[in-house]
Amino acid sequence: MLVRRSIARIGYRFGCNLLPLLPNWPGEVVFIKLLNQRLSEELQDGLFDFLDSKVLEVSVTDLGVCLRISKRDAYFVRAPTDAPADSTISASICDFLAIASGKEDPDTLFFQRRLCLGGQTEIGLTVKNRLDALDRSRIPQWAQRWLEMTAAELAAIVPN
Amino acid sequence: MELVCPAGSLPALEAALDHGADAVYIGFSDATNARNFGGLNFNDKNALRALERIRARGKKLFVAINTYAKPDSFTRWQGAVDRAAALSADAVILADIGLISYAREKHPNLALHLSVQASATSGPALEFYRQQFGVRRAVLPRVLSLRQVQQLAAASRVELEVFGFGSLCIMAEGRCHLSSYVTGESPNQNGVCSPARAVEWRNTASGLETRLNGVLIDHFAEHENAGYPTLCKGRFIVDGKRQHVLEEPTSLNSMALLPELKATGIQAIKLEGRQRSPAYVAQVVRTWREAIDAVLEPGTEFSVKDRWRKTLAKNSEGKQTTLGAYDRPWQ
Repeated sequence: MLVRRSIARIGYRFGCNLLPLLPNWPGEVVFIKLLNQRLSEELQDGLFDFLDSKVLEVSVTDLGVCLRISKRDAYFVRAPTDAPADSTISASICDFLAIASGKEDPDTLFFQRRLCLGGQTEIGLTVKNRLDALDRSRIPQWAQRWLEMTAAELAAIVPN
Repeated sequence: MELVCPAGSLPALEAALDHGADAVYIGFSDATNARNFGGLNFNDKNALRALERIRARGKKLFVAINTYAKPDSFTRWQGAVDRAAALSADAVILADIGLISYAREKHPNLALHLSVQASATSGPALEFYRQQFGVRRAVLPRVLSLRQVQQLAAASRVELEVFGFGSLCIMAEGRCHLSSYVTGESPNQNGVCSPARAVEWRNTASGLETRLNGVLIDHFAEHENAGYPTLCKGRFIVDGKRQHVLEEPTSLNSMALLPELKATGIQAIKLEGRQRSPAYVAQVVRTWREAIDAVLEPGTEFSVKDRWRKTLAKNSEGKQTTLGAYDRPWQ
């Protein structure tokens, strides 16, 4: 328990210092690949068509990471670097993980100003609702456990 | 006392069932329900899955078709009632009197609940809906004080459902036009108060501005709690002072009144929040399940536990929860 918390603390500090110095594109490539794999059925069903030619910018504020996502045909793609964002979502890594692991309600975080929406609200809100509607049982058990554990460890060491 | 819980998606429905819902209410993905937001609600495929999961747990499914049809779109609302009937939902929650009449004639075995949007606040109004259409249950508008609820319950031959928890609006249920005044769309006709396409957040040097269709309705300092922007909860300058002119963002929490509501014979407690995530549904439903179980436990004195109050406060819109009109002795 203590060891895990120390690792989380070191990892988090390391991430906060190092990640802002690195380019965003490797993270974008990996994240978008993961999204395309996991959400292929939803993409085929047209559930993310509202992102066609739009730019969604997801910023992890404390890690200085910014992922810019768009969609073409039935795939998420990296957004062109010169295109301004149509919608922005930003929060700390802690709060993103709490949302992803199903522990926190995004609206609650939004009311508390911990999750920020910018640009076209409809895009941000629809993204939130679409992600809420995903069947969590499709996330592999180990990944769910990892998410929950990491979210809990970070919540314990990072102040809101 | 039945616990009626919100679900805007299948995972939210699962969360409600996992944490103690007796019934779950859902809407179809269009303007026939009052939470018509992008990515929310159920298409036919998901509604069928919802029903299967409800049946597997022996619980009830209600379908909210609680907005008002326009003259040229009545068939869409009729279609929604037909879809709910084909689904074998346990009840439909309706507001439009023409739609109630249609549902009664076309589907005589379909149980009808009167939506809060129908705004029936008197004994004769409830009795009219029962006699004319066989309405089984009515959701009482949140304008009533506890004493008024007790008076209604004493004489009512319709089952009564009251709101337990959720974001409050100015409580002119079924009659509010503030949203359409600014955006052209209202909850009663378009199923949405402050449609997201009209909402704009703008970060400025002095804080966060929110605009509705270009109209500035609020400004938040850096760490101030924000709410979803509705005109009624905006802050405006009146008499030289910037203030909440209509109302503050607040959530209703009637948990402290559970013993009185039980003694009055209220059949169901409704939780608001189909637009919220499965995490909200899980936390709020679990809290209310524990509270209702506690109040139904014979021979024990009920009090609201601190843990319950904290969970509900955390999930509230605005900084505070209130008993709302239940606690207005002057009414």
